[in-house]
Amino acid sequence: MKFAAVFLALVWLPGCFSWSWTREEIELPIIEESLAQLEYGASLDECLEQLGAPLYLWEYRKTGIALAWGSLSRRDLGLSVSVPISDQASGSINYNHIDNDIQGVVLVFDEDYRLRWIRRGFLSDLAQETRGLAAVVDD
Amino acid sequence: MNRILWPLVIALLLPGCWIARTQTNIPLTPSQLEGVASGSTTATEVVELLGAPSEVVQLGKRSAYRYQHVMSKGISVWLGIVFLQNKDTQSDRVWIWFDENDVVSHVGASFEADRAEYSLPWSDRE
Repeated sequence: MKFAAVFLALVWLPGCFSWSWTREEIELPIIEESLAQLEYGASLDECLEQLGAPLYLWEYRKTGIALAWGSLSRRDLGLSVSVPISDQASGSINYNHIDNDIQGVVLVFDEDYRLRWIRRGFLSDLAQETRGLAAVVDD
Repeated sequence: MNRILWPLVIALLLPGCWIARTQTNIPLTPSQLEGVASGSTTATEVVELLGAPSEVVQLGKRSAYRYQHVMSKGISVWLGIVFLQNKDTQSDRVWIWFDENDVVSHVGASFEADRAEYSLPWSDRE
């Protein structure tokens, strides 16, 4: 009888009650020591050598360029009773558009491809700031 | 009775575990870039070596090509009322910049797709 109860619980309980632990990681965070070695005026080659290939690249004010590096680590621990009470999101990355949750750094270069400034934050926000194009950011 | 129920319980739990791996494009390797030299290789030669890029970005009169291979590895475990899931996505990326004459000016590369891991949500990256 006890086993029958366990069996029925295993069959029916997940339909109305569950406990979840999920994690999603996309790309590796930039190495802070590498970023710290870059000085304003550094060449594009020096930056690529330190940070590797960027995730995104776009034109900045017609003559310059902006390069973005970033990563995402999304964790969720939650209970669900009939309807989910935890805020779960399905993570994904589209390398043609920027996910709203990816954080990182944007390096802006002038027309001679010399580093002019560095900014940190959510890449979607930084992209809008430097491109002024909301359409390139995924909702 | 137990002989019947325990196999049923096990049979119920086992199908709730799965492993997934997805890839986008073929892997990139450093050796593929040996034929790409700044100041001499043209865009046509780059395409002959690496194929069509994943993305072309126009930068005024200049341009840049992105080549990318993406690897995702995931594990999901459903044990009765407990659901565990982990997904890790890493990529190989190569950006190649061209000058006004479509000659390579800069190359940036990262090869991290192999670092995508199968793990559980609490595991630390190796």
